Amino acid sequence: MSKIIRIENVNLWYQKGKPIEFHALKNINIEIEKGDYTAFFGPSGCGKTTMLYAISGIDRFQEGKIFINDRDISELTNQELAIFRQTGIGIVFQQFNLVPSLNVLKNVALPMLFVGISSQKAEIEALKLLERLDITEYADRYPYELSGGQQQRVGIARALANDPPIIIADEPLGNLDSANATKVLEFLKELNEKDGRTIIMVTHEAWSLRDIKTIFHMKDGEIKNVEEIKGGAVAESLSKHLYEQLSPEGLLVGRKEESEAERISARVLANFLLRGYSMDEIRRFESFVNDRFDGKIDRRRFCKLINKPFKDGGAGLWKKKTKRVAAFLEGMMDKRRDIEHIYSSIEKNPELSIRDEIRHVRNWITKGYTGKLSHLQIMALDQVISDRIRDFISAKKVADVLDLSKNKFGVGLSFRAAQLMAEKLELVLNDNSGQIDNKSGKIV
Amino acid sequence: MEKDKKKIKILLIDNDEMMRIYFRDIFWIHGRSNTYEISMASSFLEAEKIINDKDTRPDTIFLDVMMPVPGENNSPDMQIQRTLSFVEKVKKNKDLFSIKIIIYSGQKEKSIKNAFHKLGVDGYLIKGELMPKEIIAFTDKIHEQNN
Repeated sequence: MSKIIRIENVNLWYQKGKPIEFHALKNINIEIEKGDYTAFFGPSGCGKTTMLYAISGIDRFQEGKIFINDRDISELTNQELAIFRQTGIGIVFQQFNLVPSLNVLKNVALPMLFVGISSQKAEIEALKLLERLDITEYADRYPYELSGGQQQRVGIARALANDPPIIIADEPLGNLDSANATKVLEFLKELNEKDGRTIIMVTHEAWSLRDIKTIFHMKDGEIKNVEEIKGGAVAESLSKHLYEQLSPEGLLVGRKEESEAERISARVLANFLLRGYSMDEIRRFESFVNDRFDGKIDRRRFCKLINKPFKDGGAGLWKKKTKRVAAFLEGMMDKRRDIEHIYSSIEKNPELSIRDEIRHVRNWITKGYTGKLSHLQIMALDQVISDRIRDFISAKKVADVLDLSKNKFGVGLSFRAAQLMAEKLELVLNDNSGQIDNKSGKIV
Repeated sequence: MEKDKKKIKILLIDNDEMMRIYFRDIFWIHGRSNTYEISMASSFLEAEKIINDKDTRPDTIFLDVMMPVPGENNSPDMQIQRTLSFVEKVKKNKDLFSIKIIIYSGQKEKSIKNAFHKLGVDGYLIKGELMPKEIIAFTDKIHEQNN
């Protein structure tokens, strides 16, 4: 098999030389074979999307080379790059990126017009693509008249417009419900198997890896591990039962983009601990938590401040609550150190057993739970924690699995207990913290 | 080196730079650089240099029809006439007549097509009516016939 993409020593910085310089890709050396179906997989901010944009010639990298069919794209002129982007690569975006003022047919025809195809020919070809995606009936409609799933199919048709050999899918399922997400995955598989196109997907959700042949695990701008999947044995490191249970059901509904900085925020914690308090109280409490995190105040001072009446500049917590909250916060700060340790262990050896660490985390998140956990439930719970730490499942999914009945391989907790434990787990994980909805108090 | 010798040489003559890049790069993008070596010329003058050099002489020429020449009479008729003359010159030269000539132009008029066919061109393609892969498929086909 020939290498359609070869990446050699690529380094990419944003804002290089400025105080906010960010080293987004570090010494990347990988090869992708023609006809492969690959994924860059890892937590938000790990550089996977930057990787896609470097390959597509959208982001220029400062060091290294990216060869497409043995030609270095860093040497291309702007005109050559424009042709490459229009005909070499089709991009499927999470946000669809359709032109709102053009109907579906014209949206799909547009990339062809850019390379000089006549509008008549472009519309004939666009219609063929709409047929293939089973959306011919929407040809005259505008994007705003379509559901997310329909828009994404238009997005795929548009990506295929100039018949590119490489398809890049940037979190293509992110805004879709489960049925549509499954359809998109099936279609990507078809583009790979039937058409022989090389597919590169970026995802942070393990279940979308089901058809992938090669996984590039990324973290902090580096490729940590290359996993080749043989004979459909998707991501062996994934827990099998979770993989089965997590495949799409409800996972994607209402999920928010997790592109913002993801350190555990005092806001999440404030919302979590002060449910039912006023916004002003929560905000003030949040600033105290920040100070405590930053080491500006010690535990005693923190207790004093949160206990002080609101009108006197405090957060106005009752004494009992103050004690509980302080204990919780200190426990969490300790556990965060533990989690950092777990992360560094995973980095050194992704398959390292982290049983002991997981047991600590489990003990911590089940503290205060009055129900009894069976041996099987504990095993299932440990699996959830492990998969969440490794970022194989989303925050929302943790609560779902904890709540899922035991005979469906879930943990079988009550809805309320599942929510609480999921939230506590998010709080100790320094990465990928879920956002807590102010109104419902649930992780969203 | 062995591989290079076997490559089919193609020359695109077109005064539009984007068109030249597009035509050349679709062969690369679709992984056909091992089969075809594409050279480009923006004028007849440049083209003649490439054609007359045995090392660079193409197997096939893709030729635009409307190519204004600075300082010359650039009426449509004159432009067509110059392209016809170029084709005639190649086809009448015993060293060059085996070079295939494919007209690749926006000109759809039947009379123009006929004039070129009379001179023995090997194909007439309308720009904008072929998708990238169709250009490659056509190129493959005309070279298969000869093998």
